Amino acid sequence: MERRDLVKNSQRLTFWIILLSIVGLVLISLFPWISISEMDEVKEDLVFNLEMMKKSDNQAINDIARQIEIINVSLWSLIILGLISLIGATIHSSGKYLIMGQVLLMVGCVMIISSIFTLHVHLSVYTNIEEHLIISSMDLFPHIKYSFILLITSIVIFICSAVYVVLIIFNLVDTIKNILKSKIETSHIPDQIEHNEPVTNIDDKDVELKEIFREKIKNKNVQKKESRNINQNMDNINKSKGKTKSPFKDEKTHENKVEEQIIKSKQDNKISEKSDIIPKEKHIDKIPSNLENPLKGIPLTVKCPRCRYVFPIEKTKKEIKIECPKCGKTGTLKT
Amino acid sequence: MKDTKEDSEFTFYSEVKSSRKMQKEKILDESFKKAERSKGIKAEDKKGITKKQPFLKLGIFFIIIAVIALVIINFLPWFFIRYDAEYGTIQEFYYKDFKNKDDSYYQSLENIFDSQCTNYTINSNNFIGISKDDFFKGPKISSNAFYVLILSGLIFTIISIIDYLRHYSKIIISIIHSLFATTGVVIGTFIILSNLKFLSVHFIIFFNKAFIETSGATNIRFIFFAPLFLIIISIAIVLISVITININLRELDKKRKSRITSLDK
Repeated sequence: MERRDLVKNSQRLTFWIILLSIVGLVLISLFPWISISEMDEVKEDLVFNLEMMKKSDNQAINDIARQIEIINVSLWSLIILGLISLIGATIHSSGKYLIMGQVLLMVGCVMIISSIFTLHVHLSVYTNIEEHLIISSMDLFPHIKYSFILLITSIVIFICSAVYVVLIIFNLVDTIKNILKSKIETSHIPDQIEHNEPVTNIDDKDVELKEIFREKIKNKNVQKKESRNINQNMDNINKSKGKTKSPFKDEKTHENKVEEQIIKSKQDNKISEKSDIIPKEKHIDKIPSNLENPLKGIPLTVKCPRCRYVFPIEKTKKEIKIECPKCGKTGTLKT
Repeated sequence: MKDTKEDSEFTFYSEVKSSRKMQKEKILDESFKKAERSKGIKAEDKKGITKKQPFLKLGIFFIIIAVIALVIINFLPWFFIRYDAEYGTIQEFYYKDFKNKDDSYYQSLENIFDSQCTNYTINSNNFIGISKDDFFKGPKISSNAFYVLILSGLIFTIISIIDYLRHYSKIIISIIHSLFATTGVVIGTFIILSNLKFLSVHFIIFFNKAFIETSGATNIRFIFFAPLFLIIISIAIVLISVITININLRELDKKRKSRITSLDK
């Protein structure tokens, strides 16, 4: 079973635990629990629900009511723990704050203690009712005792919480294994990405994502350092410019070009740092060199009608005479 | 003439130009996509940057539903009773704090809730499970629970407004959303359970009919209006809160999966 399935199944179990706990609480306060045979003015069975039991003068009935109150409290604790575990599952499924999600899922494991306690108190209530001669459990349907239905509810809750704990333990073991694995393999991750190796576990991918971002940040820092160095060099050039003038005009123009390029690249860097969207031009690996026209004037590309050879020309007039460099065909081009 | 014909065949190589342009665009697009993939940005996520975040309405729902519930508690009758006494059939609406229109109640009615017969061996003086006190305490408990719901709704609405203006991370907002939904589940369940004792009276009256009739009232019929509506409202709160938690869970799971698939491509 995959790790994601473990968390998903634990979520489903938590939903069931919460639902069953709410059903248990509703059943406890909605239906009557016990009946007593009265032999005085009215010779019939008097039926008690929880509220009546709490208000009763009889000590035995009061004790049972107190035990049912304890069941109420433990079912409430199950609901709250289940909700905490659900929040944990929500955080876990977000992929961020994984440790926090894991801790909350682990807190949900306390549900097992609460469910054991509920089951124990339920059993004692069941036996208490059976022990008393005058008190009998209420039969909602023939031969089906009400306290027994509630006992079944708490048994199901106990099973669900036990399975939940097992799933969470498996999940925890998996997480620990993955953390250890990622720690060992951190140095090899960049190679894996280069070779496009298939990544099997989804949570491993998360770790890898983080690693990639870390590398990116490192690269950015390196770029920043480089740009700083360029700035320093520029300052030095400017200072030296002030002191000595180069006698050659070409050199001057070359320096100006370099300056312009640096200013441009700086501006580009600033834009890219501000926005998440990457400028298209920055990521061109190689622009085909033949796209750039080396001729001066207005560069045009012309196709020979005979040999279909494509060659660049320089346009100076409206009508120009052209000769194909391959087949030697002559002609004029009108625009 | 022949020459001129041939001359006219020399044309701009626009097709080549356009194909080159297309090639360039293709290279640009591919490299751009590559860069995106390496950064882990997906097309959908990019849309999300410019797209306005949806305003979460759970808080407003909590406030509206709590206000309706408070109106029900204060203005709807808590119960309607109809019974046959020695002097005829009595039917009356009672509001919170056990008050009716005339601000008075009959002795027989008091006997139904708190019986004066103590000549039984084991039973208490209470036959239907609720007493007059429950009509004083019950509305107070329910009102306080709904005040807490209004407060949590207000806090959540303020958080939603701040998020609408400042665009926080979707993950954080989803977690906060789930937290408030959890509060809704707890409060809703509490209100359901605190009002269930009124509904359980129907079962008790059915089983303890003979004992209740000793109080002097026969053929008793109860309808608990306010508790019934409060339970319905609370069930709605619990259901919507659970659905919200579930939706958030699925959304976060989807988002996480989409992030990972963008890495795979």
